[in-house]
Amino acid sequence: MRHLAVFIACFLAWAANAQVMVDLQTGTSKSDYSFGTLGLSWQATDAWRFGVSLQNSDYRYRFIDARKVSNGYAGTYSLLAAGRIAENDVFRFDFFFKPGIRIMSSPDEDPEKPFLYDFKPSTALVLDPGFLVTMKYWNRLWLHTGINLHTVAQIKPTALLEQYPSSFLMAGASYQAGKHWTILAQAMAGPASGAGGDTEKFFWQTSVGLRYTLKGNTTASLLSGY
Amino acid sequence: MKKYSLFLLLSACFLVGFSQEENAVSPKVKWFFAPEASGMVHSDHLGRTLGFQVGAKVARERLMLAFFYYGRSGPINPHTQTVAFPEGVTYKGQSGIDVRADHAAFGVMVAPQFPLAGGRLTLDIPVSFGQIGAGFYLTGEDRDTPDGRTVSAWENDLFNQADASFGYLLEGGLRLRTTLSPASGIEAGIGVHYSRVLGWDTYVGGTDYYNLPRISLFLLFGN
Repeated sequence: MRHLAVFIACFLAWAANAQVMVDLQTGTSKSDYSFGTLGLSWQATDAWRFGVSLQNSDYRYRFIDARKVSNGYAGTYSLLAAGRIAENDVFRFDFFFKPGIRIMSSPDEDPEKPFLYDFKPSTALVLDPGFLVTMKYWNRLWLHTGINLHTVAQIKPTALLEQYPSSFLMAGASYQAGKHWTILAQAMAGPASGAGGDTEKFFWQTSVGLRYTLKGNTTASLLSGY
Repeated sequence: MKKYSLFLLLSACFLVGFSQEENAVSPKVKWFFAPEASGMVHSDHLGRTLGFQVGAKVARERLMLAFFYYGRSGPINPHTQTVAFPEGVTYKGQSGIDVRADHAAFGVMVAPQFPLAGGRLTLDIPVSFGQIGAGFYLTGEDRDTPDGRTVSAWENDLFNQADASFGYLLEGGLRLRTTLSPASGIEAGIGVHYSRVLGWDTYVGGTDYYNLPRISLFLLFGN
């Protein structure tokens, strides 16, 4: 208990002086009725950001062993590393890499369409590498575009490459609502390439979010998309 | 000793917090990112794609080097074609089926570029080398297989193990773009391309399905 108190004291001391951001995001997608994301990231320098995030989804459909299942829950626990490639007064170009683990419940059986296959909970490795362009549009408003090369490899029940790197185009905006607060909105869409798995061939997602920056906003903290 | 450890730990946390103050660096390379929508001109329909290029302008901005990707699939391509199965093959009692095409292409693009009209326009000549993975897939309720086997397994069986294939891609083109916003470096452009695919062969599409012209619309964001 004492160690935990020391850890929390240390964390709060560090967070009060570091560029730490807390993100809350919610949205819907082709495969999810709804999802919510809680993220914590640290702008280590103007160029580098590191973080962790947890996303929970109430899914419309997903795939287990390349077979479509409906109506269940999924959680994705991710790490984040993002770095600046280039920047000037109105333009910023970053890359990001967001590896994670997706844990998915087995769905409830539909009495009208009994399963022909015994579904088990699934675990998968999710890789989200990509690029993000950020442009200053107005004093407090920034526009974003970029690409997310979403890749999924199922580990359990059987190991298979569920999705080749797929090219999801991103478009979004962030508005600096106050010294510490940023409002984010984002959409993402693109062809989804199945490998040994299945993908429904296309994916879209929309989301809105709120970011609180402990030390106050900077250009870097206005970046959305990761 | 514990007090000293805690003091050192908290000091380290403060130092890490302060160490992030760093000035932005001036870019030495002109980077760009270009989202793209395009249409593959088939004889009976337009195959719609989404994609992007990401890369740099080098040699005093006379040459663009980029990684490219574009793909067609899903609801943005509702076109279906009816295919007869090989003799003796049936699916849910049918001897043929409606399928859709999906496709992904990626590789490297090299494009010399030339300013025109006093710099208001830019002409570039993209030459791309890469690979495609493309095939044909069951749609709608046909994706609910009758025996619990995967759709992919059924597609293999229905089309003589040739529902999809990989091949090499060569593509040449001509693109014209203009600046939309000089302050933020946003350009918009249009291009015509011709794609030639080598080593790709499928039951439904044969070998020539993706030897075709392509028309692209794109935005280019750069520093």
